[in-house]
Amino acid sequence: MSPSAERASVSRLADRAGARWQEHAPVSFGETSVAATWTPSDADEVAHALAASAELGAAVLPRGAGTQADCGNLPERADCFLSSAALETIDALDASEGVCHAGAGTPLARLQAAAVEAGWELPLEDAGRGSSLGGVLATARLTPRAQGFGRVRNVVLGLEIAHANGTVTRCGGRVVKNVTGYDLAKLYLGSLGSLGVLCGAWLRLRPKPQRVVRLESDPGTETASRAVDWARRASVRACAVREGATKAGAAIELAGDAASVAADRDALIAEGLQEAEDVDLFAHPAADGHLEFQLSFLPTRWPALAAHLRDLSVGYCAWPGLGVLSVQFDADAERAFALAGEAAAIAEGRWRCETPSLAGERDVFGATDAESALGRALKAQFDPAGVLNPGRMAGRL
Amino acid sequence: MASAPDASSRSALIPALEAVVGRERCLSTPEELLVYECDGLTSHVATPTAVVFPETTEEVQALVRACRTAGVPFVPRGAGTGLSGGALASDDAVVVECSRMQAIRHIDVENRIAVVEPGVVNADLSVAAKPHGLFYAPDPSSQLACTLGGNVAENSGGPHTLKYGTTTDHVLALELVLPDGACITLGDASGLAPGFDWVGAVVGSEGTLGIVTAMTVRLEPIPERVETLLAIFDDVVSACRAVGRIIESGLVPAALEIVDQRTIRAVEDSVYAAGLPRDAGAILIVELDGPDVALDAQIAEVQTHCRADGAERVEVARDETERTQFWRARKGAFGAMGRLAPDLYVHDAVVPRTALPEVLAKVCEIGDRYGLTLSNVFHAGDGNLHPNISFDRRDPDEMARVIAAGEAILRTCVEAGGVITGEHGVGSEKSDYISLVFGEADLDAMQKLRSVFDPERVCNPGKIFPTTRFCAESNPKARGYDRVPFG
Repeated sequence: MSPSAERASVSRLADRAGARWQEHAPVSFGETSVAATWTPSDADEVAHALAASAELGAAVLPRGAGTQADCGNLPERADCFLSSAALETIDALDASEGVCHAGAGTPLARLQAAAVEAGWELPLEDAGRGSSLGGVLATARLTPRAQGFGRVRNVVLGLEIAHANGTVTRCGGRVVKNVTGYDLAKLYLGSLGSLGVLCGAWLRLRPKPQRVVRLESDPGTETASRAVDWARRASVRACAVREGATKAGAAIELAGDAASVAADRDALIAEGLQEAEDVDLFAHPAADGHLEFQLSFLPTRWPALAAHLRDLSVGYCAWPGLGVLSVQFDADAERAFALAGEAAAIAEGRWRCETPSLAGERDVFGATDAESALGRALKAQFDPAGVLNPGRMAGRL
Repeated sequence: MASAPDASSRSALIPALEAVVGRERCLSTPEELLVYECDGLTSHVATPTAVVFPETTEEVQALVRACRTAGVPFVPRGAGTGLSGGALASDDAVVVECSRMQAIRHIDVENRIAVVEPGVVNADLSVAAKPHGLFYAPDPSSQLACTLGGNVAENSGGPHTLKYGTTTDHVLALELVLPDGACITLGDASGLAPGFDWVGAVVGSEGTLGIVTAMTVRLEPIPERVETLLAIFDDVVSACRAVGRIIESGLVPAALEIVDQRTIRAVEDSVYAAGLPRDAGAILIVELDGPDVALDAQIAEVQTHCRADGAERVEVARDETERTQFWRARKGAFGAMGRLAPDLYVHDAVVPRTALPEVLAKVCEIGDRYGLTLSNVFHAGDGNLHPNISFDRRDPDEMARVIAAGEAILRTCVEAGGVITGEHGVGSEKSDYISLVFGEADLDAMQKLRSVFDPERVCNPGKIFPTTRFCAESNPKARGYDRVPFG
């Protein structure tokens, strides 16, 4: 689209949005920059905004707190942000059932606090980024406590989604067991708003643990080889192992019934770990100019993978209980992607690039041909006009 | 819809199928096909064009292509234990029976995964994994017969899903033959393939998106200790209240199962007799598992909660024999029903757990109103009801009352904030009731997913989605019911 046509489409969008439109300083994503935000007041208005965008040939970038811009590929184009800020509600929190319903714009921290107040725990986390619920669900990032919490896909019971055809649909429900129709929620979670915009969700809560204990170990070459066994103890909720320039060693969080936690604590202390006030479970952000990758691995491939990265003198943060690690390469994109491919082959896993701004033309997901073909067909069904986050999803959809 | 096949392409189909699997593994005479006219839902019957038994992925692909050439739809089938008519051969379909694909290809003990074919019987995988200290967690009550391929199609649950989750939580990767005959792999053994969660979309799609020919599943370590408790209550409501207390206290038992008085009596009159008091209003089975050190405190807590709601007795199984006996009351229930009538309609619906007492009372009232023998066995921890209706399908009047009562039960559950199926699937049984839960736009989104895999609707047609081909009486919309609001 020419710059003048682009301006025309933005001004027509602004007309449709009326008072819900706000212009601001441009925010850049590689070549794409966005200088306006449409903030719909409810799910129906989100759907209306999408339908208007489809009609005008515009593209939107769904946005919560703006903390997940580094997830997925860079957007190919975007005429405005579509903000979930007005969808901030906790409209059900059933303390006897252990389920809640919240709007996509609800800050995760607010929902976490509400769950705790009701005697439960929200099994979602965002490394303290200040993310919105919608952002956490649309990216479905793996986090260290997913070992104990379950993954995002296990936490979500039902969703409301606004679509590019102007409809709002529901899938799943509020009950914890449900096979009524296709499990579409699984597809929407982690789809980066490429199929529709997440407006609200039913979530499953977890009982608050009776006791939480944190432990850490001093760095040592044995740490990596023993960490899989440590991580597999019954009450381990998260286990992170770091090697490299930053403080190395293992960090473990135990959570659950008092007796199991005490038993695991004693066993791990006997293995040489010490109790700690607080531990660092998350991977550190990539250093300037470094390409970051998330790699999955099979537990048995872990020693070989750790040795390989040590040989390369590359630091990493691994979650052995989940079979995932974050690694950064100080190299140009071509070399870094080649290194990620080698490491994934050793790991018998997959890679995903976490620094899209440095990936050039490469798909950060490394989607296979079969996945890309299916993805294209899915995108054509749900978003034929390419309104929703074009280019960000796997296969550059 | 697939275009209607002409007579010549249809007549060429059987030889084409036989060319792939040989005569031995292709059934096509009326008496051979009789066995395959229904699955566990005996009230829905359709005769397939043929039943074929592939043994390899390549054979499945060739069979699918032969069906496509002839313009005939096809239906994947496992052991036929499904209870929603999911394996019904609608539209003269060819049944692709996967029971001969039964290799456990690989158990990777260190990585706690198994690669299996779809015809592997659910319980057999746990038997094979047991020497390695592992088991496969989803355990439908039919686990001695049902296959893992069928479990994937239905996203099967079972008593222990309260703690361990359903099939979808245990499947890492799938090999899938698409409705055009191509074969693809979705997901990977690490369970972390980036991009769309295709595995999550295919699990529970009731065999409408393709035919699963292999799967990688997660195995769990066998818990250090398992304890089974049996609590006896005066009535179902008290048992439900005790379940509420247990869940709210933060305990996560492996199972919380309630059996009502009608079922207890049927069980005690049968070969499954477990020595239960015939005058008990309800029994609650609580299974706790986990580290040895954790369970003493949990047992005491469960006993306290049960007694607080008037349980007369709370017994802890002393050994494996007694544990099996406790479970007999639950797992033998369906078999015991066989003494009451020739047919059994096993219903499946879910309500918010707190609505259970009120909904159960209504369900029993519906059974009485229609003059039916109705009893309840259910997964109380997650609100998953299984009202069982004993009947004789040869009596048209009784059959009509069974269908009417079933519909009334589903409406009651949806009105209470629940859904029409928790683990059996929609299948052909409830395809016209799905509109009680989902509106047109919701179903349209599901159809979009279907179009990605099966644009011509040749793979297991007539399931999940409302059709206009059923008689109008069975369509709730035809009787003016409005869609029940969600949430």
